[in-house]
Amino acid sequence: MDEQRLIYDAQKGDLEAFNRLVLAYQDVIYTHAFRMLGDESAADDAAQETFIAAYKAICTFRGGSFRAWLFRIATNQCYDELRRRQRRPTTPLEPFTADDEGVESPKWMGDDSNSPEDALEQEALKEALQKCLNGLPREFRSVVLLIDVQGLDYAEASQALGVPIGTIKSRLARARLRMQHCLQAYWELLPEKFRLKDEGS
Amino acid sequence: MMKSSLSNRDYELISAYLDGEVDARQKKAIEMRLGHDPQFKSAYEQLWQTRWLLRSQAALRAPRNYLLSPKMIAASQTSASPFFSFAALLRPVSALVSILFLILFGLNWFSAGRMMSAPPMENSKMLYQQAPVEMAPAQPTPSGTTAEDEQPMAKSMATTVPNPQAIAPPMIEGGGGMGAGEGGEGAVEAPLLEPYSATLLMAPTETITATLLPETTEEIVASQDQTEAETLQSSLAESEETETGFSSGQAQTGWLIKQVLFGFLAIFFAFLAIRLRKVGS
Repeated sequence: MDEQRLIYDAQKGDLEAFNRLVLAYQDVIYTHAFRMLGDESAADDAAQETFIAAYKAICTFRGGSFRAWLFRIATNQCYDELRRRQRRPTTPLEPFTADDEGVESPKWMGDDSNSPEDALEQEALKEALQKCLNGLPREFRSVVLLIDVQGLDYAEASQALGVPIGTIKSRLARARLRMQHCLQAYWELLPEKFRLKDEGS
Repeated sequence: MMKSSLSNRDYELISAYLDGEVDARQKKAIEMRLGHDPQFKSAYEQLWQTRWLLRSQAALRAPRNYLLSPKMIAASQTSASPFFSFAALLRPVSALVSILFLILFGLNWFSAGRMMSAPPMENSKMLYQQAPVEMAPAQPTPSGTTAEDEQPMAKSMATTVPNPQAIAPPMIEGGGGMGAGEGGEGAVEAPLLEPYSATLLMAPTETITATLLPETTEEIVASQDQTEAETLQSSLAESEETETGFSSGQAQTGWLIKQVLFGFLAIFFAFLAIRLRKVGS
């Protein structure tokens, strides 16, 4: 796929070309939205809104990293959703059954692991990570997600978040440190291989 | 957990080092420290594990395709909030208004600076007294002078405005070029010019010409008598006192209020434009 060509065609109004870009990026955008919001349906809405907004603004894309540009739109969509939640806090992170009991291993946190043991380990890890991510301030969360989860470099993250690289560096270091401290609290949830050496010392 | 004595800067360096985002000098320093500082090394290992943990998370699969259709695009365009179109208009307007107030702020400051550089009242008074002598050669004007003949004088008055000496009331001959046939040797000073000096300093040439000439003409007609001129001179001294009191008190307060107002409005509209930009994006 020639991304530049697709972008060029999309800028000319070719919806088909844009949809090919959507297919290429929908998983990473959905993952980013889910990690930012910790909620499947909100992430679904945010991802859809991201692509609609991106199509409407595609003419303003002036080169550089398309992925970073898309992440910027997605991050702003997530910020909007988080702001809405702050105004009207309602939805709990975990889904509830009809008896108002939390689902221990929700389907929405599941993945394609092979063995049941691996699945459990992964499940625990995901839950712990998501809880720690949810505890981060949103500016820290977006940096750590873009760099450590999505694999952007500092320059792309800087473009995606509209902040200088120096800010990216300091936010990332602080976010990682907070994640590290938070994960200590979920010690029992973490599989053996993930446990930090001097935990408990 | 062991209490860390490492600073935020240390963690920042370690974090950047893990991502290969440090320069050669920093890299060397970090590697040296890792060799002999156990606490630094422990922090490095813990951050490495946290980073690895985060990176080990697989990407999720989108629950559906987010393909767009022309209908969805049309629906999103029609359902766009009217606030955003209003915001799109308000944003450049706010930016322009902010710049306007910034210019007003600068102009006000500039004009105040020029007023400050004007000579003290004593100088003005002295020049006022000397003015008839200096301008004497230009006095004799044949009666029946037309408005065109007068233009050079008006120009000379106007072009010398930046020079404080020119602010002193000029010597005005009896005819003044305006009142035809009223020329005479009784050159009369224009005492009422002095109180307007501050205004003149800021006014463009055309304004000065337009402002001065009719008034001076009236003054000439009104003050042909030498005795009357002396009376006016004494009244000038009084007006100077009044002016001095005014400039140091009310004028400064007024200027300060204007500056604060302009500055505040410029910042307010700039802030508004920036906020609207964020809302728009």
